[in-house]
Amino acid sequence: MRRGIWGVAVCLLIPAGMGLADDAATLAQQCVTCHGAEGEAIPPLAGLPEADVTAALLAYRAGERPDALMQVVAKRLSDDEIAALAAYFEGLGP
Amino acid sequence: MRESISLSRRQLLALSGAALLPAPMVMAQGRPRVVVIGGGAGGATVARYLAKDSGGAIEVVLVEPAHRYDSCFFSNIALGGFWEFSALGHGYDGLAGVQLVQDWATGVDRDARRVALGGGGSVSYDRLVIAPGIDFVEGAVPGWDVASQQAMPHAYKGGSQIRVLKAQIEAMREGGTFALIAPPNPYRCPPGPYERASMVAHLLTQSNPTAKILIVDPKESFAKQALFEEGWQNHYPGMITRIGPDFGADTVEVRPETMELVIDGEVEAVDVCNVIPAQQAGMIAAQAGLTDETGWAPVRPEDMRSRLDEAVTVLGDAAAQGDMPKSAFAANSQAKVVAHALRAELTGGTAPAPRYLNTCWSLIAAHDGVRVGATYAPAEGKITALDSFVSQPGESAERRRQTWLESVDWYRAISADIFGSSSS
Ligand SMILES: Cc1cc2nc3c(=O)[nH]c(=O)nc-3n(C[C@H](O)[C@H](O)[C@H](O)COP(=O)(O)OP(=O)(O)OC[C@H]3O[C@@H](n4cnc5c(N)ncnc54)[C@H](O)[C@@H]3O)c2cc1C
Ligand code: HEC
Repeated sequence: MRRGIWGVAVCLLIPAGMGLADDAATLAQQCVTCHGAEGEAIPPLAGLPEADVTAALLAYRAGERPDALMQVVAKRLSDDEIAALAAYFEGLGP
Repeated sequence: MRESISLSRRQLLALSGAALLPAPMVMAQGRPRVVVIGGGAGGATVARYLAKDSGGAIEVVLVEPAHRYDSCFFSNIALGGFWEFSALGHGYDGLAGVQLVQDWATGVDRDARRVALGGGGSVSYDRLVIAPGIDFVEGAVPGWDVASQQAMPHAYKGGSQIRVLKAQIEAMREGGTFALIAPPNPYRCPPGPYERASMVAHLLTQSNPTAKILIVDPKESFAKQALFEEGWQNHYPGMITRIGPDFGADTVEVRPETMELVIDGEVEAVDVCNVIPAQQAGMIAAQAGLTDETGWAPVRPEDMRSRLDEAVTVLGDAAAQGDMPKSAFAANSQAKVVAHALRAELTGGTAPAPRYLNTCWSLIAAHDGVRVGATYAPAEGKITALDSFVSQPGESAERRRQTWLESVDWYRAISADIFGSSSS
């Protein structure tokens, strides 16, 4: 199929690491609609300690930390995704 | 491994350049071109993410006539006096790597893969994204057309209409009537008309407390109804009346010259009349032949691709996708899925499984915010709601204040996400 050949052709021009994966940066695109560079009620995530983000997301997912909104967001994250997001956001810190 | 890839790369490029890439411009430049029509919540997000994440491998062209986007989202908040109107404006200078064509798209030749421009030129595409928002259905409210929008504003498509509406509210006679004609489903921002009524009530309570608000609604029920009705009772007792189809609200007629409504044969004089007509996909989607009998553009839930043309994606308000409401949040969420799908198709790799999300916040009175939202995924041939949440009647004032503050943080975050951080 045309799409396949063309896709491969152009893909190889891109430096390694630019490929699409279900990686942390891609997952984090969902979060930045609400979590910006500043915020009172929706705290910025960049630079938060990895352990805190992990703990918060696990608690939302388990329904142990209240917030109906973050609970539905966390519900569809796997353990691996939570770990990847937590590491990613800590890495964005100063 | 590396050698063999670079070898086959040359071969494949030769092959694709000669045989596979349709447009001469694209062959010359050796990279696929995505043209995006409409620089709103959906279109600007797609353009920005494609340019940002493809590392230059995709040429991104954004066709948008305005040099500044005035958001509908939060326009009710500005109407209520909580924000300045100027805070709703965003420029396009933050869209790094995107070529901006400041013009209207006036037609799409899907066989030639070419978009005609108002200024006379045209631009060819390998993939087209159409995100034109909404247009009104002509004749939906008898007596009203776009030429009446100064007398009876809609204030539902951005631009200066919201200021016109505010000036009319301020000039209203003491004890006058503000009428709001609500649209039938589906329309952009399901709670929008009711948040609008709330913000008008907030203004009138201060400046003209004996004034009345009449909502003429063709629908039996509406979004967050229990929350709005509770809030109206608490904050604006006796000010807001809503009539539904039982009382003829579905056949209302207006007379802009005399500022009258005709409901069930009865003539009603009003002082301000906010007409929000029935809606359909922005005209360019119909001109491109991508809408169906409903007036909206049917798309596949996996990637928002048109069901009528593989090379075209339609997203945001214009798309008929299933369960997601027509909101800026939804358009932005869909745009990220679209950017993944187009990058995977055009530059290789696998797109992640699509995950959609929406939240709509509304303000009922000062510090009294409510929210509704859900996660979504493709299922049964449409975008289908998974888990949802909604504010509850009787919540504490502190919870409601927190919800309002969330909406402010969301506005800032999503604006930066749509337009890039240098948006102003
Ligand atoms: C009063 C009100 C309150 C709202 N509040 C919220 C809210 O709180 N939260 C929320 O998420 N959503 C809210 N919305 C809904 C939100 O504004 C829309 O759902 C959102 O803007 C849809 O995005 P879009 O990209 O589909 O269209 P738009 O944002 O409308 O963008 C369409 C763009 O396409 C351009 N365009 C159209 N035709 C052409 C053409 N032929 N050629 C080139 N360019 C073209 C237009 O100029 C425009 O810039 C609200 C809407 C209203 C009216
Ligand atoms: C629709 C808006 C929205 C989205 C999208 C969203 N969040 Fe949140 N987030 C919130 C709100 C609101 C809170 C505050 C909730 C509370 O009071 O506990 C929050 C809180 C958090 C917290 C706790 C922060 C702290 O310091 O206590 C973390 C961690 C978090 N979110 C991570 C994420 C991640 C990761 C994503 C993306 C997968 C995400 N959020 C997406 C709205 C959102």
